[in-house]
Amino acid sequence: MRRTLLRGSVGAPALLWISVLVAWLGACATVDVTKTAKGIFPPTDPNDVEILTTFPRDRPFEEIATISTTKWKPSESAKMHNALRAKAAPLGANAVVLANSGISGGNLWSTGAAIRFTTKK
Amino acid sequence: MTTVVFMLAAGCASDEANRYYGPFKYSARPVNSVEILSAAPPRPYVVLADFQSRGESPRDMQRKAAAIGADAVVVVTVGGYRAKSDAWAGEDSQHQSYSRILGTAILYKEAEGADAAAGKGTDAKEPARPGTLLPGTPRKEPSR
Repeated sequence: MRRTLLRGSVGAPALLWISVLVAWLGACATVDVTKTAKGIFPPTDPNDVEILTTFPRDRPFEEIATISTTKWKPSESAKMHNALRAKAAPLGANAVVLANSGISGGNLWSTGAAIRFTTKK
Repeated sequence: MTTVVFMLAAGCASDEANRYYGPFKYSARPVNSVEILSAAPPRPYVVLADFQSRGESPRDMQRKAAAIGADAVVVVTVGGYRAKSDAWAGEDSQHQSYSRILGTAILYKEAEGADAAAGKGTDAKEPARPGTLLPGTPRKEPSR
């Protein structure tokens, strides 16, 4: 009886915390950025970061980072693009060029390169 | 228990990858004398090194910069969680989270005219103060 009470009193808060943690993790995707360029670039406005599927031919650019994201639902591709914009901007990216995308375990993922234009458009 | 695991993970550096650009080596300096910046300074500078890793803090970047004799380190955190409730590109409620921390170690230059006053960073081949050649480096004068 005593053991049951103890298990009940400790188990309930633990289950609650686990539920909160699982819910929080489900509400978040992840983005990983690896810098490949040298030096410091001023941050850009995330609203202006372009999402491309090919490298631009009409504007000179330099690659500044590789970027990847996962844990999106397949229906959340637009939100995924905004996540890439938000996470590439602090590094000074003007665009993210998507190289590969796919669905794994029900999760949408994407990888690409963050680039910075070296001249104004 | 989960919290403890997260704390341990956050306290362990991993995927540490640094780059040193100059042929000159500078003596270490006191850690607290190295400025921690969040953006490039207006003063002219040269880029001495880039650090990046997971699970480290701005203080760790400062320590690394001090070890190579830098005047300051510009710290930027990148990646991390993205809340699916964030609808705007410019909104990032999880901006405190990061998957990787970047540090760019810099040396301040003496003012050298209008170009330098523009605050442009150059590479570390042009030393801001006297250094010693790294072992194995061809002995030649800086090109600029």
